[in-house]
Order: sequence, then structure tokens, then C-alpha cells
Amino acid sequence: MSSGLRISRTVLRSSSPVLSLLTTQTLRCSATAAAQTTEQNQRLKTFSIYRWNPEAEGDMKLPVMHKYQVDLNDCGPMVLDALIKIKNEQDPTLTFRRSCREGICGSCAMNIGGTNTLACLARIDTNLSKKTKIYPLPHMYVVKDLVPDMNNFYAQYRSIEPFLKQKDASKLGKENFQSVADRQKLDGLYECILCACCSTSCPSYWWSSDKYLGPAVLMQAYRWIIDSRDEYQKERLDRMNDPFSLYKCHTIMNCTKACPKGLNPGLAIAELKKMLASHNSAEVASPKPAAQ
Amino acid sequence: MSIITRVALRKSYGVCNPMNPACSQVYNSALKSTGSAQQQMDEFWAKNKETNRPMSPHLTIYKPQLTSMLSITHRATGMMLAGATCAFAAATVIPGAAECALQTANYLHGSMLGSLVLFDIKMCLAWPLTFHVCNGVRHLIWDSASGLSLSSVYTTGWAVLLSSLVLAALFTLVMQ
Repeated sequence: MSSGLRISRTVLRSSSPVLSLLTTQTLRCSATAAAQTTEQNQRLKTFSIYRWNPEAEGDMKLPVMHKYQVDLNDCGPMVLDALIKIKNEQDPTLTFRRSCREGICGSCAMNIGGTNTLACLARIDTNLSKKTKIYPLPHMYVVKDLVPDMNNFYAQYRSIEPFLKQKDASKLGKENFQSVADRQKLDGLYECILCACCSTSCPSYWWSSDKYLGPAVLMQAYRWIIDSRDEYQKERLDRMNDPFSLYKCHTIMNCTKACPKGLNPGLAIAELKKMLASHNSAEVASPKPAAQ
Repeated sequence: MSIITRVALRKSYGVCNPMNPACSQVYNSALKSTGSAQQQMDEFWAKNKETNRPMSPHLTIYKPQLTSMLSITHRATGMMLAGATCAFAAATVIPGAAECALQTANYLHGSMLGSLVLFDIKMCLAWPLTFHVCNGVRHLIWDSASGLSLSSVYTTGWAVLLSSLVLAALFTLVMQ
């Protein structure tokens, strides 16, 4: 049976290369013999998952934690594999976002084991005595189960105008030359997949998500400010010149800890603050007369 | 490309065609825009306030990490120090307050409380100060955008915790 072969492959992944040859032989034999894993062979892991149904009635109106048990012998190594398995075999109503299953799209961002990560990159903790708790991204309005309302996050991203802007109309249609050094400045910034793990890990963003932009959006703002091809540096910095947009960052550094892609939004924000400080002191030193 | 597809494409671009070099305006009529970014944000808050959607849990479920725990301790110790400074200022103006404080200290020293308990009490007074100062230095270094890699944050974090305890113990034992 195909599931038997699948078992052998998942066990092979975790066993050493020396043993793999032996296990292949024995498992291929046992797979055909035992169509279903016996109670003793199962490695049951408990997942405690946040559930909320917008169409719930009466006492089901409040969010609850549902426990599911998954046999790790018959499951892929990542939390997303477990979620898909639960949805396929146990509870089709379990709702979550997912797409690429390889950590590049950012859809499956959620709070696993207390920290925000991508479910497709979070390895299941094989300690069977502990249960894995899965929550949606913190302090976000919940649409259903593990799906948060991301529209505010996207609107904030849109507000920083994340595209190349040039004042010189003669440059339109021509290639923008950029030195290797200038291009290197974008490394560690452009790779952001906008999964919102960092912003939703920031307590400051929890309390002020209406006015504080959050680490993800701020890092992208920095990315466009330091892009040598962009000519709206001053205007982009001015967009941040109020008490909340940038300055609600208190360097808690939960963002850098949470980033599943290993990026450093905290550092980008610190650089932004430095740029804004020198930008403002330059304005004070030589104030430009009011335009038109 | 067929003539029909070309006409359809030209129509969809509208007046401002980015292919046309004469058009220098930013192409901002996105396909699915429902207003400006600010409008979308306002709609978000309006919509979510009127629905019964719950807020996903945050403080109760997020794993306590060195980053967030040291940050909140910095804030808490800061508030404690502000309170202590106010109390000190009050003691200078309120008649008899300073003597009352001294009497309390002398009483505690003369009481049945062991030296270990007294040490702990003094540590509770000294540690908020030393922690806030050490972490404050760390914050000042961060303001120059250095030491912000995750490994540096953790290394300096543990260093601040350790040094604050050592300094507090030093103050408590030396200042007799």
C-alpha cells in the first residue's frame, strides 16, 4: 500500500545512512504484511490548535483549543505537514493559509510553540510527552481558526510606497545603473517575504498597530530609502517624521528573533532612526524656505 | 499578438501608459485598489470593530524570550527608579520623613531578621538601579546601530544580567 512505502521514506530520512539499507529491506517487507500500523508502533504527538468559527452559535461563539493526535510515523517533519494531515484525515474544517510549503511565500505564518514562524519551516518537536500549541499570529483580528486579517499590515506596506520613484523624467525607460557596493546595501532587506512574523511578535505593534508601522514595513521603508536608484529619499524620511510611525520602536528586538528568514528588522530600524536624526538636524541647521 | 489582445491591453492601461516615455506620472491606478492606503486602514478598523471577530491571544501565549523580558524589566526598573526618586525628593521636603526612613532602616538592622534577609532586601533596592544602568548603556550602544545582530543581543543581554547582579551585590556588601 502506498502509505506503507511513505512510512519507510519518512523513517529513512531520520535514520543514519548505514542503517537505511537494512531498514529499507525490513520495512518494505513489513509494509506489505501490516497494512495498518499497530497501536504500539504509533508515535502520537498532540497538537493543541486555536479554533474559532465566525458562524458559530451559542456557546461555540468563543475561541477554543482543540487537541489533535498525529502519528509522526506517518507524517512529514514540518508542522504544516501535520496541519494538512489533520485537515485531510481528521477535521476538514481546520482553516489555515498555506501555499509554497518551502518558506518563501509567507502564507503559513503562525504562532507555533509560543514563537512566530512559518509552519512549513517549523520542525515538529518529536518529544511526544509535550503538546505543540498552535495559535494565529498574535494580536490580530481572527477571520477563522488560524487565519488573521492581514489588511492593515498590507495597507501599511502600501503607505510607504514600496516602488522605485524618480524625479528625473529623462531616466524613464533607461536602465538604472547601480554599483556592486550599492546593490550590496540591499542584501538582507530585499529578501523579506512579508510574512508578518516580526511585526506580530512586537509588543509595541500589538498596542499601536493603528499608527506604528511595525518592523516588516519599516525594514522595507529602509530598503527603498537606501536604494541608490531611488530619488525620493527626503520624502520617504519625512513620512516617518511623527511620534508613532517609526518611534514607537523601543528596540525590544523580538522581531529579529522571530524572523523565519534570518533577517534583521531591528537593525534596519536603528539605521532608519540614525538617518532621520541627521535628516532632521540638517533641516534645523539649514531650513529650506516654504516651497511654492 | 493579435489586434484584439493589443486593443484590450491598451484599454486596460488607460490614459497613463508606462510604456509611453512622455507619461512621467507614477502608475498608481492599481487593478484592485479600494482607495488610498489610509482609506484601506480606516476600512480595516471600521470593519473589524463592527464584527465580533476575536483578537488572537498575545501576552498569554507568546514565549518569554530574553529580548522581550529584558526590555520589560528595563521599563519596570525605570518606573521603580522614578518612584524612588520622587520618594527621595518627598523625603527632603516633608518634615520628619527622612528621620522616619532612617528609623525604619535602624529598626530592621536591629531586629531578629538574619543577615541573609537583610541582604535580600538591600539587593531589591540596589538591583533595579544597577540593571537599569547596565541595560541603559546597552540601549545607548544600540542607538548607534551597533551590537544589533541576534547573537550580540543575546550575548550583551546575558552580560547585562550578570553584571547587574554582581554590581548590586557589590553595592549591598560594600556600602555598609
